[in-house]
Amino acid sequence: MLTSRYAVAGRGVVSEAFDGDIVVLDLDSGRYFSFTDSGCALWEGLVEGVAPEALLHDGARYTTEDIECFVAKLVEYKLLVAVAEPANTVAPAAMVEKLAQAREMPEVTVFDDLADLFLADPIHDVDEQAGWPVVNKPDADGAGAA
Amino acid sequence: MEPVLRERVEAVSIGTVVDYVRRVISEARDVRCSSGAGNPVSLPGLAVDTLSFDPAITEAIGRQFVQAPSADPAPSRMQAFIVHPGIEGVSSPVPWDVSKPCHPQRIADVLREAGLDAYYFSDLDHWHLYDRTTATAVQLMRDVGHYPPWETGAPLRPFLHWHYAQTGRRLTHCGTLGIGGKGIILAGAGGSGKSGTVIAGLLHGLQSVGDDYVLLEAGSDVSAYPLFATLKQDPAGFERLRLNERLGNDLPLNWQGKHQFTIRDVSTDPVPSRLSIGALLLPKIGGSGRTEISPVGRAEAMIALAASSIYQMPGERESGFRFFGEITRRLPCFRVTLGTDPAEVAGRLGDFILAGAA
Repeated sequence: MLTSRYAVAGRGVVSEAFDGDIVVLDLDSGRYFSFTDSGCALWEGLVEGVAPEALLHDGARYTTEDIECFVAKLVEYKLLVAVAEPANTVAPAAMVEKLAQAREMPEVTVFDDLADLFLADPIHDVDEQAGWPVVNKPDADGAGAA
Repeated sequence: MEPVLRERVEAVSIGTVVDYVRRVISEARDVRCSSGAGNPVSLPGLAVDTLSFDPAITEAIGRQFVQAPSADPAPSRMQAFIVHPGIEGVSSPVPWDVSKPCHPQRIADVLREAGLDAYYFSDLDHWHLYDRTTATAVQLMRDVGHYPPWETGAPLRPFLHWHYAQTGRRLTHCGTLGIGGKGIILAGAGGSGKSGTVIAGLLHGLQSVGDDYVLLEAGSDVSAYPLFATLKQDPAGFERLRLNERLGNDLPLNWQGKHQFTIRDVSTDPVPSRLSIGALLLPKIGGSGRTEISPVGRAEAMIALAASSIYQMPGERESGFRFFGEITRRLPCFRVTLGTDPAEVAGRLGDFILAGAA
């Protein structure tokens, strides 16, 4: 895992960056993701093809295991996939600087409150009594939700 | 002109949705019934000619919009038909085929490749259909009154969303407040205090270009334009803001259990045609007497602004994510912990806007 190259899992995974903050949206699941400061720097390195082990710098507050855990979560959430091409073994200087300035452990936060509703669009089924937009639960035989 | 499917289908699926949308739009365009009500709507850069065969929707179209000044010499034009099978030549709505797998993104892609958009509410077999090429919009219902309960609060909303998304502007789920042409947008989930803050501002001398749904543009600066005059407030907020003294106690509750009224009911000032937006605020109901404003991270602000706006508007999701990313990047972002006194909240936000942070 630590020497592998990773890439964004597909066209449905989109991100926006602002002054060090990053928000990722999975258009297929409707889930939003944000990261801690070190998580943002690691995400940037990983999507540029840098090997996870190259993102562990001297003086880092996180360990090899922390990086492994972070990458495993991104793969589990279907944001990243391992690819066959060789990874970059050296992180760009600016990225190392960003990692060095990070003060938090690498973590990802998931916002999935609206995911079910998001998936219901554009042909969707709602419960009028419960208010809009609330997705109807499928019937026992699986019918009921378009 | 694309060929139109003439044979009837039992249920609409991803394989037939394009032909179905074209057929319904073709039928609506051929309607020549004098019982329909024509109602022109003038919006920013857009003139909508409506022909409605549902009295409540007709009334809502006449009441809920903020008509734009006719300064634009050449607005885009849209034709909108609100129809049902009681009108000669209009077929009954065909339901979605629930026996087949549903892949919303694929359906949206198929429609978009054909220059179409669609939105289906299965409880009522209710369709919103839009042809981007001809700017023709059709709202098809089973019968008079068979539309989702939120329709009268924001009529034509999906059509406006699809049209404005094509122009790079965006129908956005947020509130607005302003003074002297400058303003702020308020974003957050239901219950965060957004609508109560907008109404408090209107009651105490601030302006607004709308609550719930406004039109945002990221040009040389971020601008907000009015579309709907609709305001809503639950009974507790209605009483707290002393709206019963102004609007009486007989205002019915809407489908959400909220009182629904308009900006014109709480403010005699004209709705400004535009606000130059200087900040994005995330309201939070606080327990103390004073309103506090403090910086908040852009990631949190982006999610507050984008999440509800994107899921409440059908289709155009990646472009929406990019648009709200741009808005968040360009505006300073703050958390506003609301005080308990509406006049104090309005005063604090007015000072904030005038001070130039916004």
